[in-house]
Amino acid sequence: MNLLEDKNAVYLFTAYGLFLGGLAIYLASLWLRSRSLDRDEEILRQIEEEERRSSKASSRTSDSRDGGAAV
Amino acid sequence: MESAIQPPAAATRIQSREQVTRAIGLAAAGMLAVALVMVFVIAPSGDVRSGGEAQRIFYFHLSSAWLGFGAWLVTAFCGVRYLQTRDLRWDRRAHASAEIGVLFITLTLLSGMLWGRPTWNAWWTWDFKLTLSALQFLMYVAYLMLRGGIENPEQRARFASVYGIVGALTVPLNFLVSRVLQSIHPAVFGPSVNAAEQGGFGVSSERFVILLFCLATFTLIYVFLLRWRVRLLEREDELAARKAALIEAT
Repeated sequence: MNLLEDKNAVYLFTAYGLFLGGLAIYLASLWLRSRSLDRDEEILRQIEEEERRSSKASSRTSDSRDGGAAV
Repeated sequence: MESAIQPPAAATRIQSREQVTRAIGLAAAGMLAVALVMVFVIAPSGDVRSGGEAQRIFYFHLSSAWLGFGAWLVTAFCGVRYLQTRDLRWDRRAHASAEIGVLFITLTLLSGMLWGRPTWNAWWTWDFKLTLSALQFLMYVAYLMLRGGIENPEQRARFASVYGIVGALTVPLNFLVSRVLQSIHPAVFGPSVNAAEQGGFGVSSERFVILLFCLATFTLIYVFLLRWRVRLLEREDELAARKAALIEAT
């Protein structure tokens, strides 16, 4: 009998739709989490760089202030 | 993808690991396509007792169950290794495996219902095997909820490991229940007390080859998902450590 003519084919296609759909949803969730981590890492990298720059600048300021006080 | 603070050797290692994961993913996708062709084109249709064309659900239903239950065993094994070593890498693997297990046990339950309707004329019965499978699904969800409720990583890993090990006891129980007790669910492999009444359809060599291929495909999908999820968990932990270091520094 033709697969499409069987009265139970609807259960078959629904089941395989669920398999592929479930897998696709989980893959999409992993991809979204990966993208969100990429974004978070980028923001953190910027903050870390900013932090390094500001700490360097403040140490330079305090150095020159100390030098000025010595003079 | 890797963080900026990784030393070059570690970054290269991570990159090659990610390439392997991608290659596994591509292989799994190719095998999945072949498996679908085998199921829909090559596999013989079942008789009326096993649901006619709906019998083809069997290949992915059993493969999903293989992962749904196998993932628990991996979670338990990683739990044991964590308790032995106190290495959080084992805990990440356990966590990732449990999450993937939820997906596959859900697919097993749903596809079982869709196959049960034309064969048993019921979406669900409170049979031992079905009830145990539903319980297993709930235990997976509870495992993830338990993890979500504990802040301290070491404490979370310890509790989750113990829970994972205890939860894995349901896997052999589920395997045995349709073999030693009266059950509506057929035992496809091995002897069972009521094989004739269960509507078993016998796995011919043709079906067996397709089933083996589907099992291999699903195993590869599991390995791919596990590697990807573990990497994401690693990155989450790295990020949390960097955030904590930054807060401490300011």
